[in-house]
Amino acid sequence: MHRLIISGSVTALILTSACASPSAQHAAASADHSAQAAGHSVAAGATGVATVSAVPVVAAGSVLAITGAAIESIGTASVDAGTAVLNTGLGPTPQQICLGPPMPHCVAPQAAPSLE
Amino acid sequence: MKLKCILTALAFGIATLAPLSATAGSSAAANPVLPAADVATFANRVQRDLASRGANVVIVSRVGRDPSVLPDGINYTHVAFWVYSRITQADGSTGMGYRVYNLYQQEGDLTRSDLVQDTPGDFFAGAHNLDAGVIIPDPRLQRKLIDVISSPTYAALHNANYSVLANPRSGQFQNCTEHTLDVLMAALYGTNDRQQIKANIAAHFTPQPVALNGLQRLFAPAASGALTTADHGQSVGTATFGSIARFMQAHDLSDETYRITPERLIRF
Repeated sequence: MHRLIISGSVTALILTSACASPSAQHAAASADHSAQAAGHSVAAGATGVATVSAVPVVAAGSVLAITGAAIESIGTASVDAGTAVLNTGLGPTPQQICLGPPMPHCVAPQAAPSLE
Repeated sequence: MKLKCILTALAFGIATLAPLSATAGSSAAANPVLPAADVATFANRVQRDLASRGANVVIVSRVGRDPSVLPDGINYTHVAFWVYSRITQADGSTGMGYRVYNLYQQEGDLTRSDLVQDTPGDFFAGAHNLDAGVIIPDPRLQRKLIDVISSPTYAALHNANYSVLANPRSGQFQNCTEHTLDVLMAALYGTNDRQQIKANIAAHFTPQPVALNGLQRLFAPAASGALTTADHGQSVGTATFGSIARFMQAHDLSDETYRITPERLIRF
């Protein structure tokens, strides 16, 4: 019984946080963040300072020095977490998926994605 | 006796769930966990690291809850695209930086969402830990992603019906991670056809299983409609940062997948 209650509340704790937006209080804090960010070489856009436009830059790397810090390799534990239970109860990969309303048609999947 | 036990559990379950769900969109914000200065410093650390690697489009995640309460396999609670951009401020000043493309729950209605652009500082404002998960896509994929993000397809792939545990194989509900996955698939396959995207996700993407028992699935929607699992079958699986990272690694779609903390950069 206690286990049930605890697991229920834990689930709620976990899941209600997803995709939450900053509140007004956070937005105010964000203005501070942005003001401080502006002092850095890579300027941060700001909620507190109205942004007129933000245009994606496509020129890969041309204006950027490659000076990133070395990334340590210490295993794959974090990304692999949970993989032991992958597919458990999720069933086989479908050859065709039929989506319910408002998309009532069956569609065959394409080949696995590749950039080659 | 058994019935009494179930009813008691139901009462307790709703009692514990209801206050949490009622403040879900703003509870963390009402009590900021981290000092604003630390968050700002960290946000800049992340974006300077990404810029230094020449990354134009990156998938970044944050920890929005105490990791000790996160279930196995879920390390991050919010995911968004960061796009390196030329930013023009209202005062006419311009600068280079990352613009964050989010899907956020509406504060007034947690069962609905909006697409919202904000800044790296905003992104981490609600963080519980200074810890970011980063996926730098292959440069060829970055170009495809920019094409989608800057096109009407990006908004067209948004489904405002929000579920925390949205099934990525279904178009019934969507959360931030599923929208990220939908955009990723649109870029990979060069399509804005939602049915085709869902079919490809069903075939090639493995959701992160989430262990919920029947009573939890029963109680949760009573506390908040955003906790529905109505779009799932017998088992529940959802898109997460980790499951997207695994998908991209399995198909050679990413250049780097790593974690940034204030002290270290750690490859997953």
